[in-house]
Amino acid sequence: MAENVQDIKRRIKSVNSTKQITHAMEMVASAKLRKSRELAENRYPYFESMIHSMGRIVERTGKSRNVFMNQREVKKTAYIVITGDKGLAGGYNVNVAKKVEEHIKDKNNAVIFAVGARGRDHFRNRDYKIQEEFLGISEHPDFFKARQITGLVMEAFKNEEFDEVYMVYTRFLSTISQHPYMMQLLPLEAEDLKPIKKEKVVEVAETKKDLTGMLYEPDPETLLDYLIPNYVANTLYGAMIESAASEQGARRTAMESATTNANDMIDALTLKFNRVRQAAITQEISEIVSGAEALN
Amino acid sequence: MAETFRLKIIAPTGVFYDGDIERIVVRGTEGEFAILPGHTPLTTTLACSTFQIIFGDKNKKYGTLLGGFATINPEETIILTDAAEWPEDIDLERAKEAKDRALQRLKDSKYDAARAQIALQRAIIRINTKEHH
Repeated sequence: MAENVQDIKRRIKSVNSTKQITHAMEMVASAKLRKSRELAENRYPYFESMIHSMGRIVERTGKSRNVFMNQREVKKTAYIVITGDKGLAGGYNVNVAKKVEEHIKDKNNAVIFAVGARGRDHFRNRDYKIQEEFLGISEHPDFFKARQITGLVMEAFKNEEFDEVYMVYTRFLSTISQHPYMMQLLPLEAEDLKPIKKEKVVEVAETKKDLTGMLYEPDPETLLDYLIPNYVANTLYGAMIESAASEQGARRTAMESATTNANDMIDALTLKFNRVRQAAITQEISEIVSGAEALN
Repeated sequence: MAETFRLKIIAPTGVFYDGDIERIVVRGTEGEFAILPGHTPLTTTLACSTFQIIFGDKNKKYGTLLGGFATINPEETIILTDAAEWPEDIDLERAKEAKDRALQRLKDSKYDAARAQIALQRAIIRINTKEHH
């Protein structure tokens, strides 16, 4: 029991103040998580309608001459990496970065579009080529920002700076479970756009009728020119929202376990504190007693 | 009560309007047109413009649509837009500032002229919608 009562007291105090911080962060993350989920729900109607319309046009035009829908030989690959701007979110940022690194075979053939400071730092420190970085938007996904990003990416894709684009984000499965996920953003697969099978069964008759009757003004190809950038931007916007929700979820879980750990630590330290104090008292008593005995 | 059809205006941030109306006047990229109940199926792109909704009880409501496209069916019309606003949501001061800024940028070659042009167009539509309706 060499430890000083004062030292233990100080440690309890310091652990306690850390606990208060982690607990507050947990609360903030929960509140932000709720907001992000709301955003995600608001986005669905637009996205669904758009996929539906695009599916119909693609079905009608068949193979499109649109540059964003045509595969070409892959020499260079771009990655849009969506991470947070801040740490303290468990493995959230690292998992995304790992997912990208696993996929990259040759550093020289990969360019990174980093959304979020953590991802940027990770790849900058490892000498990857970062073409653009977008900081300070991870927590507040915004459709116009998303479109700005995809605008840059699509322009570069069109100029054949790279031949395929992957988007890496964190899927929000539940408040306690989030997984990094990679999807191909460009070129678009016509197959992906066709109405989902399940839906088809119900709407077979209606779809047929629509296809023969629907007029397109201007022509379907021009409509696709308008729709594709919007579709891509909206996909990214959705991924950004989902990532933001995941970040908050991951942070909440991390902070929750930090708070629990702090509680355990405080309990252990309090026990130790009481023991040391008791030992000191016992020792003092026995000293007094033995002193008194010596006098007799 | 006149015949009505279902109109949905959906923006990326949420459903902006969903209800039964008698007529909507919008500007397409090919010119202004009205959608009435029983319209022939049509998919078309829309320009940045002020739109006008006429309800079954002849009440009118105005708003702005910043680009988008419409899928029209006889019973239902879905407009997907980048952004939509009612006049009461428009901040006149901000729109005027945006207009001045866009005008400045158009003169200055270091900014992207196309983007400034779009920003200017949006600001003008917002101001018009707010001031006239």
